[in-house]
Amino acid sequence: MLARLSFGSKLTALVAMTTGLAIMLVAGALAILDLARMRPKAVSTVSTFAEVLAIHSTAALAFGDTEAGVETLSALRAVPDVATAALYDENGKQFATYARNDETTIPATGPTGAGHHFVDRQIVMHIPVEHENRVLGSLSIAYRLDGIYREVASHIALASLIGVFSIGAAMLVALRLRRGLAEPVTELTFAAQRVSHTKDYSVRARKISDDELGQLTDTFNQMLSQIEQYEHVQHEAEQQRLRYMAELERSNRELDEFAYVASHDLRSPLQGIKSLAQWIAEDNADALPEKSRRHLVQMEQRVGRLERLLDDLLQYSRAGRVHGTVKDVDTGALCLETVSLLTPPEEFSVDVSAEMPVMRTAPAPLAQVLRNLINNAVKHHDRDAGRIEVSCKPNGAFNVFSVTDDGPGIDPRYHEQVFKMFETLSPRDSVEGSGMGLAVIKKIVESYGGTIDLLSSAEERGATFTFTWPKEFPAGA
Amino acid sequence: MNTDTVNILLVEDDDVDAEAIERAFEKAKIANPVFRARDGLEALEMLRAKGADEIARPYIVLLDLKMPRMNGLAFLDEIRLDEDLRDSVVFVLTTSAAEKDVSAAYEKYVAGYIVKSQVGSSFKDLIGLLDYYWRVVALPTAAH
Repeated sequence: MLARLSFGSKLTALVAMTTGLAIMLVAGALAILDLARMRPKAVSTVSTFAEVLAIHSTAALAFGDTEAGVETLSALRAVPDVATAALYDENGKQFATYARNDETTIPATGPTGAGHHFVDRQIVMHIPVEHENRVLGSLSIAYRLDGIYREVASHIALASLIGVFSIGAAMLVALRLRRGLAEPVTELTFAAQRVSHTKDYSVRARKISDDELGQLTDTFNQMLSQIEQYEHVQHEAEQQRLRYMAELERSNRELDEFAYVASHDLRSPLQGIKSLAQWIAEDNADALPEKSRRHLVQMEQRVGRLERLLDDLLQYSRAGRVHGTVKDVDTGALCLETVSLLTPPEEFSVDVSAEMPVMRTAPAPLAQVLRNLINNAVKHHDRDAGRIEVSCKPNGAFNVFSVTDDGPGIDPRYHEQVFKMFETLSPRDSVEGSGMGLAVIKKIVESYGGTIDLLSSAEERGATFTFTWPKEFPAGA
Repeated sequence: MNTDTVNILLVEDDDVDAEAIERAFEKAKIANPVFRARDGLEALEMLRAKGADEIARPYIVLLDLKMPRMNGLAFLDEIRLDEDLRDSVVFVLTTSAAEKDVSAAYEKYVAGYIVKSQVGSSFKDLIGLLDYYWRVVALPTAAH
């Protein structure tokens, strides 16, 4: 139960309980001391009365004057606690008696000797009445202890009252203490809860005291400042990152749009140039000198090259963005289909491995990559006959495709260059190419999270292009 | 079907493209008169002209989409609102293969949408198509 109380209530309860216990212990000790001292006190009081009375009774007993005896005893009326008293002659015979109004029982003849005994909330004292060392008789007094009991009871009541007041005062003090001790703790707890719930690190705990709790509050606030500062820096960095991302996305989109518009809008004047060259040739077939006719043919060729360049540029701008449908693709069949569409010269053989996987992917971009690689291998071959191998093996989350040729190979110092836009290692007029093929492939492969590599040395013939393709087609793509 | 000669209104801003089509007609030995407008506004003027300059029915409009002043789609909006011209038979002949252009043109009731790159640089297929079209298809002849 105590565990559930708040820190402040615990503190109050602790002070009240400690004080209460101390007061109760003191009151208890006083009461026990009172009780212990009560009987000897009663005995000494009664024996004083008895001795005084005995001295006054000697004449009555000596002369056998009962009336005088009764009168002497009646003096006891002044002492309310004396219940009864009796005088006895030397033979032990009752001589005179006294009883308060409400008392009826006269104590029986006491023992002949002196002494006292307690009976029925009374002390009964019995002493001899002597005169000049001669025993004249004896005196018995029964004294009620009620008064003494009342006194002790009133002491206990007083002690209890003081106790109650003390506990009340202690509670008041505890409530004041609570301000100094519990409030800083409550304040800290409240601040910590707010920070934890709202993640608002600008919250500060109010400092109430200059003691250890005050220091704890200061430290707590300092920690909050540090977190707040860190959060601020983090937030700034995140904002900056988002701005860069948006900027990058925008510039990428602009580049794509530019490439699309350029390739599209540049085509129509090109078409016009081509038509005009044709018409000049057609209309003046006989009038033009041989040299001019050749120039017109070359002009048409250049126009054709520019058209291909624009096609490739468009392809590059779309690479990795347009991937068409996703389905289960037998990559072996896809390779064979690609080869048949390319129609390589008969002297070239293209071997597709028997262990090509079936994977769920978009066939269009994959076919484009394979087509460009196989096409390159044929186009850049330096001999009339050649052999191209296509294979695939799994590696983690990717399938690794390889296209190997036995052509002239590519010197490692050109390996980086070949993947760049508009780069080609052959003279323009010996091999028709825009230099975009590998750049397009690289962009496609990388847009699906893959990589492309070239293995070829300067000394040996042949080159192997490997690229990785995800087994699981990206869901967002 | 058409006993009268079908006139052709070619709406095309590019002179070389226009000449390519004219040459293609010549080559195919098709002698139908070809009128030429350089944009939508000029085409509207020609179609609304009366008397000596009037383009007699039946006629077919070959319409480019991308043109200065009034483009092809705006021209289509104009003639569909014009009581005298709303029944004009229009073929779109353009470089744009964009889906939104194709559907926008058909929403304005064109007879066909032809992408230039699909009919070859010599327009041989286009000429063959049109030649066959006006021999078989009945065209509106009476003016309102």
